[in-house]
Amino acid sequence: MSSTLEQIAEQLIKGKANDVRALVQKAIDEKVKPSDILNKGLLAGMSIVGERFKKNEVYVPEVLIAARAMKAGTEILKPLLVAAGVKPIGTVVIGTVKGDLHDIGKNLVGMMLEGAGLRVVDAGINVEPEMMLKLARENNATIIGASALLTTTMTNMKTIVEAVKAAGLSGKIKVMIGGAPVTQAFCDEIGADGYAPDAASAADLAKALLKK
Amino acid sequence: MISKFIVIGENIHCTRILKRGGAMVPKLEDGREVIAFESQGRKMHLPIPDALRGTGDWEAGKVKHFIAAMRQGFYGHGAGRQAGLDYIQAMARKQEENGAAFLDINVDEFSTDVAERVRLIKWAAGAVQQASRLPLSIDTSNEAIMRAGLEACDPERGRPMINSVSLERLGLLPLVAGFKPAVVASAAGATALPRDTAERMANLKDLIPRLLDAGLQPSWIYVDPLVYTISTDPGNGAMFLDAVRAIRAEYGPEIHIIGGLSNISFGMPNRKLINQVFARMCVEAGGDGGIVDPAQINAKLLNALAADSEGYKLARALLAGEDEFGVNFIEAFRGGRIK
Repeated sequence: MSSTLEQIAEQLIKGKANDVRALVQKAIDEKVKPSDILNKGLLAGMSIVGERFKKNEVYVPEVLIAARAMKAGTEILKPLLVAAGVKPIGTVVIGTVKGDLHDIGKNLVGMMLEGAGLRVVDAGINVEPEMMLKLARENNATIIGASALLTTTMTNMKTIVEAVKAAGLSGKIKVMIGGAPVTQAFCDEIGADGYAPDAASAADLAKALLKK
Repeated sequence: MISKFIVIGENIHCTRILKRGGAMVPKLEDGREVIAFESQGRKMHLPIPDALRGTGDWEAGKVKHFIAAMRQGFYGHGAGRQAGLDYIQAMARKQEENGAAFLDINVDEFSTDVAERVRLIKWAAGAVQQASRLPLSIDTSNEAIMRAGLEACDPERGRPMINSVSLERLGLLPLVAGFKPAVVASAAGATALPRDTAERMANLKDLIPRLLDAGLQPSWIYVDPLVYTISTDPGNGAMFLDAVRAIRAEYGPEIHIIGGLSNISFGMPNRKLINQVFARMCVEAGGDGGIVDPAQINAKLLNALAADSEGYKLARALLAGEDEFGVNFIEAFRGGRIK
């Protein structure tokens, strides 16, 4: 039984969407628990991809095809997860801050977060701070992930932190930030809850923030 | 045969990263890490300022070398200060020797303090101009820094460059009218990045008349159609080339068409080869320059590319959108088949 799960992880790492889909179906037929297929198969594979990406051992397209393979597997697993009452470990609203139109980094973060078992609500680019907060509330998200590529727009991350505070939600909704010009020092300066230097670290950070 | 490729030398930039532990960041006998460089034939060391040690970047194995050099040159003392200045000037000379037409300077990521960066761009512009005869390109998303940078440019050496104006940054138009600089005209929209050639053309048809009204000649305009990475969408290379052809057809021979060409290879292995092949394809499509590293991309190097090598062919297929997710290119790279 466990070998099917290992195969799911292996094929996911290789980005073989069709094989992952077939193997997930096989595991379902073998009566493996849906939560095990998710955690020990799909997410285990994605976590290895994340680790390798952090070490520059795999390249961006390989992360994308792995994420696509995960999606293929998750799609057939989803109804069973819902029926079994398996919930995502948390919900994150991600977006590129107001005034900033860059989305490559933000999209990679989204894939890594999904690969870590979180539900991701993507607010897009050029997002008003109030919109981030609104989406977080509507989706019961406990984390807002804000991205910026410009020094002129990263100041809008502070506005998000302040909006969360003004709504009395500090601690309930955590703000994590990232992007080329962003640093830990800037994170401390604006009072955000965490900074991640790359997409794979963002997934680790989100998981750590969920436990706080 | 490529006779001319206008290089806006992109190297003097506060985002630039060196890897700790690599040949450029050696450890001295006393255990101290420094940045190694060569200036006028001499091997030298740039001490890394304390402020950069122990940061997140540092722990992740990265050091921003121009921030290190500027910090030393601008705030340091004695030998550290001199090394910072030497570093920046050596990089300026190296780009000039490799045929750059402009030297791009970006201090945006030095800090979040605008007043500090205004002082810094003046200092950096002065330092670079002492070492090189080239005009500067001021690369910032902040108007105050742009003005300070342009004011610090020596008018004797030719028009300085604004990098960049777009519909998103129309606030820079008074500076365009006042300085009559060369201008990088970005195809970005007011609230979104263009997704295809039609959106790029629509943005440029709104922007370029404003630049001409501000008193620019077409030959002072360097259109940047915006390069997106091939690693996230296999169509991004072909889409850029298509836009280059459309812009050339619309605006004729005088206007320049450039781009931050190395963006194309983000997230891929062997970026240098991909960048070079892409630059050559851009010229074939009607482009005539790029915001690039002149040590990697210049007319001579582009002409010397071996068009019959496996790496060249695979890079070309990748950039034409014929190698989905770069599977073939990455596989050949891993197999050691790309030199």
